[in-house]
This record gives sequence, structure tokens and C-alpha cells, in this order.
Amino acid sequence: MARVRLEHVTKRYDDQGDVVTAVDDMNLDIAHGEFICFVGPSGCGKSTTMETIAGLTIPTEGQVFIGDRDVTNLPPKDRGIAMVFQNIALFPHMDVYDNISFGLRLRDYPQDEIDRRVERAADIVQLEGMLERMPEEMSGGQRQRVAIARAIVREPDVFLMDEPLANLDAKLKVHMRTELQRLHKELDTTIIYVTHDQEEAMTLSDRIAVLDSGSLQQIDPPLTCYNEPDNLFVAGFIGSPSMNFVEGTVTEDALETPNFSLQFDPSSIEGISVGDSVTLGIRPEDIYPADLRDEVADPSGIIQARTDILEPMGDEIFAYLLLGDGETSMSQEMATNDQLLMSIDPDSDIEEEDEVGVVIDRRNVHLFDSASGEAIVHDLRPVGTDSSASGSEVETDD
Amino acid sequence: MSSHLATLYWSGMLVLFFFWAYGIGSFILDLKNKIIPGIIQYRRGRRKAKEQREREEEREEREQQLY
Repeated sequence: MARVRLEHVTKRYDDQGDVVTAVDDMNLDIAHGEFICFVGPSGCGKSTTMETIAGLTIPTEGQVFIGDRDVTNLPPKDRGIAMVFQNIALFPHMDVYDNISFGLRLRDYPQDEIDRRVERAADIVQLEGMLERMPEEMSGGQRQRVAIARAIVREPDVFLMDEPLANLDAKLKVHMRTELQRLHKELDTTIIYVTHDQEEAMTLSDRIAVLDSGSLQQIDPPLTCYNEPDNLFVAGFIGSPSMNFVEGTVTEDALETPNFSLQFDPSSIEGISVGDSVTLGIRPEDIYPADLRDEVADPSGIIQARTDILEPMGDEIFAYLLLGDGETSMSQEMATNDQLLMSIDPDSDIEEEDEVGVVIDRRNVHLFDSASGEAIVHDLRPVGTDSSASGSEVETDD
Repeated sequence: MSSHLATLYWSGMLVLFFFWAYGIGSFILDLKNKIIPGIIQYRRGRRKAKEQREREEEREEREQQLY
């Protein structure tokens, strides 16, 4: 059983006299056979956490367990893990067979066992007939598959993958994603995967660990992170394009923002009271043109806006809406309070500079505490309300 | 005539002495400000490069254990 546990793992570096905390009191419990992604922006500590598990970095504090063994101070070779690196790192002077079998030869495996494992790995990653090729004769995707095969032949308890698809083009990346999913099913082993690409994390993993500034922000299945983010960071990081954020204040029967008010009953929702400063979070796909109001499960009233920019994506159009006086500005306040991003149907007849009315699906409105950033609620309907509830009146301030 | 020769002799000696003293002073300052710091920096750079190389080799060796 390859369960991986991190207990209070902290990693600090001395950077010319300054102490930098790369990983801060990380606690993780990864089950056997789980595919878990560490995701976060550059410098969030995801690679350092993986290197701590791999044994490339020794933690300053805390312990790492693989199975029931405390491997904190063991060298990488004694941990029962194999790693695929971002830079692929094949030996250019060795052919594919020698590259794949490198780890086994290093450990003095018998030749027939090496042949058997290399053949099986080549079969899994579909490299049959290419074992005599040199790395320079292969494409990026094929080279990455050689690196994966090199990890497979070791038959490790845990696979570690550090942004293995980062250097591949978009089309190959999508193809390799499905290959990795197939591989995970076939091998039934624990895979820990590092990426800064949240789309990759969403499609591949059983659970996502979202990291920021060395701290674990949330660890949950992809859709839970998307639909019920624990805080503003997760809400903003997961989902592309990002969630809209609008500052507001809770009144007796509504949420007042600088440009509109959204009616709801604060007393029916635990954790908020009148006068609280909150941040309203709305995903672009939860904002609809007013003419689709009847199709929305729990629509708000109509909010007046003006379309600023339209971005056609093929299967949808991203419409940037200006609220309030409609003046374009590049300020941060403007970006958070006076602008909404809406996803609309590509057949929509909305054009730039149109005056439009929009409604928000109140089932999917998130409220966050403005001071702490922690999530308060992910649904503005009173507790126990079913999805057929009708919308309430919303007034614009214009 | 002899007083002229003496003046010329002492003037020449003064000029030569000035450049001799100037040369020694300049060399001492160069030694202090350029040559010794340069040697220290070179040796420090070599030491750093060696440490860096050792770190990289150790890292590579550890990475190869994961292949």
C-alpha cells in the first residue's frame, strides 16, 4: 500500500541572510492509488513539496511517510518512488532501450528481468518498435513517453511527476493527458503530479491540492474546489477565466455593492450578519443575458450593464461588462467592482457597446469574508430552498 | 660653471627620485585596492563555483536515483 503522508512538513531556505519559508507546516494524507495534483502559481512551494517527498530536499521540520515507513531522511533510491522531470532528462548518447533500462541496470537486475520490464513499459506507453532509436530522432511527446517508461520499469510504489507536460505543445499536451489517465488506470498506483496549469489539474486528478505561499489552501476533488472554494485564493485560481469578485456590504434584506444590490435573506444563512463586509464571487457562466431569465434556476433581478469587449472563443464568447457609469478604467478597484465577465452563447447577437440587462444565478453566488478571505456560503438561497425558487428583485444604482 | 652643473645634477636627481617614490606609492595602492582584492575575489569565485558544481553533481546523482 503506497499511502503518502506529510506531517507538519516545513522547508526553510537561507537566502543571503533572509529566511525564506518555501513550505509552511504542510499536512497531507494521500491514499493508495490516488492521482493527486499540486497546483498553484510559481513560487507557491509545490515543487519543493514534491522534492521533499522524492528525497531531493530534506525538510527543515516534519516527517514524510510512504506506506508505514518514515522516509524523511532516506535517500531517494530507498523510498520506492520514481520521478518524471519537466526537462525529460534522457541520456542523449543512449538509445531508448538503454534510457528506459538505466535504473534497472544501476540496480543490477538480471538481463531477462530487464528485457521483460522494458518490453512491458514500452507496450504501456506505446513505444514498441522504437527501442533502438536515439532521443534526438524522437518528437517531444515520444521523448516524454520514454521518460515515463523509465519510471514505469522501476515498478515504484509512488510516481512523482513534476510538470511533465510543460514543454509540450497544446495539442500534444491534451493527448498526453489522456495517456496519463490511461496509465493511472492500468498501473493502479499512487501518482503525485505538480502543475501550474489548473486545467491539467482539473482533468487529471482525483483530488487537487491548491497551494499558495507555501501553505495548503484546499485539498478536495476538482469539482469541489471549483464549486465550493474554501477561500478567495482558490476561487480566483481554479477556473478559467477567473471568478468575478465584487465588494459588498450585507444589509437587512440584500447585498449592497457599488453598482447593484442583490436581494437575499441574511438571517437564513449562517455566518453572516447585517453590516458585514463581504466579497461576492460569481463565475462567468453563472451570469446570463436577461432574455434567458426564465431558463435560470434561481435568477436575480435584472442588472443593467454595457458590453465593453467581446472575446470569441469558438464554443463561447467572453463578454466584459461595465457596470455603474460605464467609464473604462484600468484601476484595480475598477477591475473588481465595476466590471463583470460573462460567458455567452456564440450565437448571441450581443455586440460591443450594447446596453444589456443581465441576471445572476443565485444558486451559484459565493460569499467570502472580505477581511479573512474565507468562504461563508456558496448559495444565496435560504437553507432548504429547492432549485425551482423564483428570483428576487434587484435594483441598479444608475 | 660648477654651480650650474650641481643645480642640474640635483634637479635631475629630484625628478628621478619623485618618479621612483611615485612608482612605489602607486604600486602599494594598486596592491591594496586592485591586486589583493582581485586575488581574493578570484579564489572566492573558484570556491563558489566548486561548491555549486558539487551541489549540482549531488543533485544530479540524487535525481538519477529516481530514474
